[in-house]
Amino acid sequence: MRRFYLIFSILTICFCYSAKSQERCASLLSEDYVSDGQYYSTLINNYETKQCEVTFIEGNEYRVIVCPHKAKKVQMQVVDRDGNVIFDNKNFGYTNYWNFKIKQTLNCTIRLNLVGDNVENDELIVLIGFKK
Amino acid sequence: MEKVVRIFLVSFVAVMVTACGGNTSKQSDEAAKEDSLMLESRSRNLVGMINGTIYCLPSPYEMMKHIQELNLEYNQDYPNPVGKFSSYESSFKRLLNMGVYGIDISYLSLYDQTTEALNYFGALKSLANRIELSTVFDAQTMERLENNMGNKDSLLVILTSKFQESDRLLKGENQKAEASLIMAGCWIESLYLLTQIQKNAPDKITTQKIAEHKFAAEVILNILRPYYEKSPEFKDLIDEIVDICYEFDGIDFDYTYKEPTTYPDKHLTVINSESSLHVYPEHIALISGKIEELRKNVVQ
Repeated sequence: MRRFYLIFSILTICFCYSAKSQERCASLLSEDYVSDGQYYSTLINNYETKQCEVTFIEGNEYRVIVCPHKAKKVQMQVVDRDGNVIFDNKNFGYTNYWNFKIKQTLNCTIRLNLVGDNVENDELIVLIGFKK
Repeated sequence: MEKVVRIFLVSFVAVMVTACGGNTSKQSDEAAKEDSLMLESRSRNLVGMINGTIYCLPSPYEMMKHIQELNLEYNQDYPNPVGKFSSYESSFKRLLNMGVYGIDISYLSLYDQTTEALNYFGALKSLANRIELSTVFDAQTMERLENNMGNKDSLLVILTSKFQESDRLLKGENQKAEASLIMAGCWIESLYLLTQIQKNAPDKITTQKIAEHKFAAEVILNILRPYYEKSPEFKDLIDEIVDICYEFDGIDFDYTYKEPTTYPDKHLTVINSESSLHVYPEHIALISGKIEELRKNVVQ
């Protein structure tokens, strides 16, 4: 019976952690940033790259947030149309959000990869907000 | 009693294992296969994603910022009259006009037309109820709106959060085509509003804002294209948008990469790259004419 209690406790903590991390991720948009009104999600395997095409409009400041469901780390790269890497969260401890101030309009691709092999696949939520 | 507790715990643990994704290293091959099949079937349900790419649209919020900066007077002829909502019989029209009314509410809020904005929210709620999105515009939301009537920022925040919720629900319910129609309605009304403003109060920056719709037009087309054969209504809508995209093709976009500046302590990167859109009055006139025609077909 004791073993049941142990498994029960561990799994409850695991569940709560997962739910809390999702909640924490969405809360990153709730202060100075307004959502773009859309909900982007994608399923990803640990060997593939998912892309998100986005146009950043001049004069705006954007916040891009990536929330994994199970994975601990997700690599997020922002690449311009010529393939120049503008940002890579690998250089910043795989942070799950970053802000971008845009001087002139440009088209970018946000590239997403799972880091490590602790999960085979996952669901990613991408949130984009604008500074008020 | 202990047996009951044990059964309860076993069931609870099973639910928790599913919710947490389980322990990958110990997952049996069969379970892994099932998991992967489940993900595969869900991946077909994702919206805005074509060939593994998600397409993001610019927000109405940024367009409203520009309109605010123009310091123009409110024009009551711009929004689609609120009374029309009851005449939209098909789901196709209701979804498109949810997008249209969403943009109109943003415009009304900008000019503190709060009572009128609330009427539009009522119309939006009625349209949402008829396409099984009643949970989005529930009594609590309407109460929140009434309480925030004097605060245009709050109205816009509530509006965008409701649109995000509709988007999420439709995507989750495998109603990608339906979600794409709301987005199309938003895009059509945004471009219509800008071209009307430009017609009545020509401005260099508004011209640029219209030209920037070039990118959103491509996104909308990519999102709608898979439904071309779904119905004659989809076909006609897509054909009209393709026609507008041809006009946008005439607008050249130059881009030069410049080293960005990053401020790690602020979690901020300033993108210094330079770009320019080359647009001529002829482009704007053609785009204005075509969007006016398309918008007329959508709201009539």
